[in-house]
Amino acid sequence: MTAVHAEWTKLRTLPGTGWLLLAAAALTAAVGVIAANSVSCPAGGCQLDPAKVSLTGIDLGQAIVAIVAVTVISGEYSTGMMRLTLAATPRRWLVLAAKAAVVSAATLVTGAVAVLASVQAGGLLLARHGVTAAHGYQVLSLGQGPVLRAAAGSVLYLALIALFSLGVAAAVRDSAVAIGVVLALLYLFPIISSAVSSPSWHRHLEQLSPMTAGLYIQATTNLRSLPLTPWQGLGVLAAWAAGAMLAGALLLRFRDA
Amino acid sequence: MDQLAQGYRQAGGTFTVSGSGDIAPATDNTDSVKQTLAGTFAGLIAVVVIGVMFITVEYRRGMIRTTLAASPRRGRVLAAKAVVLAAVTFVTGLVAAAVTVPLGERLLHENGNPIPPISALTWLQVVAGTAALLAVAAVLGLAVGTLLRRSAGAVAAVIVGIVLPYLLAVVPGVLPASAELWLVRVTPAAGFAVQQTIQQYPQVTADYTPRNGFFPLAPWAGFAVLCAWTALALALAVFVLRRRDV
Repeated sequence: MTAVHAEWTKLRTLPGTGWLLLAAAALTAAVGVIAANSVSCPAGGCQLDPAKVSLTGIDLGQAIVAIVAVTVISGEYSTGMMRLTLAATPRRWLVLAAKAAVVSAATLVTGAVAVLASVQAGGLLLARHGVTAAHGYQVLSLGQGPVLRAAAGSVLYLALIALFSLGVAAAVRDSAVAIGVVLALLYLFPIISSAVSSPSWHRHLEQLSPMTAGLYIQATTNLRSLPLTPWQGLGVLAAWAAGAMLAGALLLRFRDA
Repeated sequence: MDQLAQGYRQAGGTFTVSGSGDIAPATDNTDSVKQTLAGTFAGLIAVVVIGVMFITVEYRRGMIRTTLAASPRRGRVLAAKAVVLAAVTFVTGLVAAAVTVPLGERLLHENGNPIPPISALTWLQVVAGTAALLAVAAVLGLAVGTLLRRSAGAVAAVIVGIVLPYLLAVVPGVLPASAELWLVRVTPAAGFAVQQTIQQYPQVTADYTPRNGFFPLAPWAGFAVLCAWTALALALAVFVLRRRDV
């Protein structure tokens, strides 16, 4: 518990953390508003997933969450603070676990605010742009089971992104390289799979992709066309996060600090 | 060419085509040459990391104080860094693209995929353009790294600025078509237009979207958008570097 308290103090007193988390919440909601505002659903009906559109901002918000998570560990390596931390808490896995607890708690709170704002604003704006009962849509609200799953799942998605980034940063140490690796693993899979024309490879790449598969949790329409169920998709991201945390923990344990 | 047999006559040296339909080179609406360069994104992220670290590492280690003491004209320091970085990434990108494109085309050909013929000039546009794209992205990384002085934030900002708009534009079902076109017109992702080798034919009805490799801007115009963003960031970086205490 003292390790968690120490990590909380460090995270809280860094000048950037608060601003970054605020920016993550604000930008996530802002992108959601822009995306919901650009929708047009004419009388002929339209093909869109209202929950997914209003939660588009997660694509951007995750990058800021990744910055916070990477900085929590890479920042200590760059200033040499890490040696002090490990001298104070010689059980190294405990340090990583405490960091994970603090970062994921902060991300869960930020994510909840961002997702609530996105869904509320999205519901209002989408209804104004023709996504209405007349066109076969229910007005977006957390009262609907799939929308609640999409919203809660998006918050969990952000927390898993934070853990994934923390694990990568623990393994790589340098902040520029760590954030590069994290964003490459997140953004490259969907781009490469969109360039692949073979349907089976396309499917496999989507199933493997931490971002694409993880964001299946936001899908509320056409669930049958997805290669995985929403929760299985989030499970793929959880596996990536667990793998990264394990690699980070092992390297932290056996490497000279 | 659709509707091949009907209305097609050859008399002497003259070919006569009549009827209705599309006359254009047969394409399946995929930019095969551009596809061989899908790896550009991985290279792009790598050069952005290098570009950012080129300045942030100096701040972290305090080396920047020595650098600025050695050459007090700060704008010139940044310009020198930009020139070195751009030259190195351009050459690396040129070699990578010049190897990848022919290799990819051969593999596509061997697997029986049609490759639309492209002129030498277009080939040069794609290969040199990809190298230039990487060079300019690295300089953008340098500029943002100078502004923020923080590695993680600068790398994330540049990658989010270049890669995320492209991703939102090409992954189906996220945004409506008008928003997709807007994204590859005004954001730094417009620079990827330089890799486009297929043309639009006004008489052919097709899905002319970024997803199928069609950019709303002409190749070099799209590249100019990326250059404009980089120039803006670099100008801001010079301004801030001059005004700021080390």
